[in-house]
Amino acid sequence: MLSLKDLKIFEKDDFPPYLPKLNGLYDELFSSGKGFRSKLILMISQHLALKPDSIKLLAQTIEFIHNASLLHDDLIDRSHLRRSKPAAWLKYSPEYAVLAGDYLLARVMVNLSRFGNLRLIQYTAEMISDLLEGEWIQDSLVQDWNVNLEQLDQVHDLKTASLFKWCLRAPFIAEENYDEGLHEVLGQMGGILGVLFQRGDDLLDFDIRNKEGKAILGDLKSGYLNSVGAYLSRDFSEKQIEELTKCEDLDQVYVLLGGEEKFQKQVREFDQMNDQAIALYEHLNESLKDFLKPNEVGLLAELKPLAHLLYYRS
Amino acid sequence: MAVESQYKTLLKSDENFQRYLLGSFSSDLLALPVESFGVGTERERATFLLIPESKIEKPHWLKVYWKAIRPELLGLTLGQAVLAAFSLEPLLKINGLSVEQKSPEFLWTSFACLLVIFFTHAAACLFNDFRDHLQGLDRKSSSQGSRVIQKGWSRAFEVRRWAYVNSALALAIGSSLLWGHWFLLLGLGSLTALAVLFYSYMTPFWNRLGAGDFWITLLFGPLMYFSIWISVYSPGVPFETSKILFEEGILLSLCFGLLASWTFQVRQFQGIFKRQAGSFRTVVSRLNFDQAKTFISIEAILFFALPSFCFYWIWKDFTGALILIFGMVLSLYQVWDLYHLPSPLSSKMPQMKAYALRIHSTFLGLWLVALWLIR
Repeated sequence: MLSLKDLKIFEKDDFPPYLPKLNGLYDELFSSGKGFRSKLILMISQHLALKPDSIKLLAQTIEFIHNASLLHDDLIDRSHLRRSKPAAWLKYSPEYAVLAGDYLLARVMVNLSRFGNLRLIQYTAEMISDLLEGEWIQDSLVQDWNVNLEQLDQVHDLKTASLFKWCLRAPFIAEENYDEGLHEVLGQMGGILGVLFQRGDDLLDFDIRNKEGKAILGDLKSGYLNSVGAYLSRDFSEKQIEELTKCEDLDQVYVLLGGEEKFQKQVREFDQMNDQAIALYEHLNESLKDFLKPNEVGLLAELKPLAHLLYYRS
Repeated sequence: MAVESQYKTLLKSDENFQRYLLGSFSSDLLALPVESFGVGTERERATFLLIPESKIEKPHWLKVYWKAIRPELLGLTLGQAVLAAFSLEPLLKINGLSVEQKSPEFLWTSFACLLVIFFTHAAACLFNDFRDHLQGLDRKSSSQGSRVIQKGWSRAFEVRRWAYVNSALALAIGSSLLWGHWFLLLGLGSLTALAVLFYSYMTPFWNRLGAGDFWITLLFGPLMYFSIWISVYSPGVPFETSKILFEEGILLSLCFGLLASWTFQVRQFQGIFKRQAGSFRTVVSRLNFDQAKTFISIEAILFFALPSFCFYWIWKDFTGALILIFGMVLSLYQVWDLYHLPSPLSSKMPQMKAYALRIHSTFLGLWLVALWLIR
């Protein structure tokens, strides 16, 4: 059985040795990060009849795509830090950051086409396309302070949820299980995981359950109203929204909302709303029983706590 | 902590599936659909959120009914019908026809016409909500439909019942108007029905050619206006008098038919992000985001200028034309926002539909004012 320590995303031979700085850039990129998506692949794949090489391929694919998007995102957003280190475009150059991201996506296509599962290649290409559309649309919403939660969810469904959907579906596709009903349910579950993950991340911006020590109000200061900001400001006047955009710290946000207690009340309401989504995810997880083989049913217990984990980060 | 699951998933083959969708499975529980899979196929399944009906804060049934019939769209139907009825006398006057030529039951027939339009509009909206609910379309977007079923304010079978009642009322009142020029009205009615069918079931090929725009212009223009004008004549009045109105009538009705068509285009443009092949029925379906913005904005300039030109051409009244130019200026200000939308998910995008309807109502209102001034 494959274990986490066997799941090395980046091997020395994966990239040409003659390209200057490329391997150094990737060393830094893949040495940090939680690798959650590849762990999800491993967790699911071990209940299916997949060979270790196939599992490694899937894990590498998702991490390559995810990290390629990070390389590009940091340059687009002009972020200076990534995982507490200087972003690649700053440390190396913008050109190298773009090319390094492109190269990861190219390697994905090379590796998948060698694997030979056409449907997996097709689905992966669609996922990358969704990811890019989400990034494009998100970029068009910078400085739009009146965007609502439903609109943001549509962006996150493309940008974040598409990767989670892939993590749930790709192992089954690699196993050549193309059952439409199964993939519909997995797609919906992946969509919920993606939105909850994003909302949990957005809460960190307002210092809620912020164990990671993420910078406070980082999204707001970058000109972007995240899902929590959109929820808190849903009944704001134009003047209040303008004041929100100028907030430098949480105390100013509390004042706008009528005090810290009211802020916490709104956060609890936000949590309750997302608890419904967690309940729906768990229900859909149970319904997967109708589609799994007897030896795969153990997967349900592993998938069940994910929604709660991704949202509450515990 | 996660709440206890209140969800239930049913397959189409389940004997209770239809009852859950219709809302007739229980007298004290509501089943609000939250997910659909494989809609329209044999493997269709739907997930419902079960809530005690007592936990839903339902408004008064009249308010629910009002919400369900999409009052924001009444300007397109009833508003235009009011304008058609109101414009008949000034049209007759400029053609040298005295008011005695009008039907003695003018008030009743005009009122009955408006009731028919109202109940037909209501029935169409209710049937639309019911059908979209069964097909799972309203679950995909929170801006589609009236949401009265999704909010638990009304069960689907109740909405269907209202739709039947409104249809029956429209038919009953409408049949009383047929005693006038029944042959003509039946002809117009058949043409209307055909237009609706063509619009609803056109292939993407015809959509892209703008056939949808043509049918909307026809439906909300000449078909509606002439149906109303003919309806308000009582039996026995020679129809030849109507022929005098043909030129002015065509121009006036086309003017508002084109405005209605523009309003539909803006509504469809609002949904451009989730566009599915064949789902758009106007020329907007062949344009990308940037092209659609430009096209709709240029159309706006042309179509907003048309009412004032039309008014002056028919009645030679400068004041009325000026009032309508004022409407054009007000409306172009809102089109400016549309033209400068940066993204299909921009916060201003959900307001575009309301803008278009507001512009349409503005022109209707100003037209009524202009007509009143020349009486």
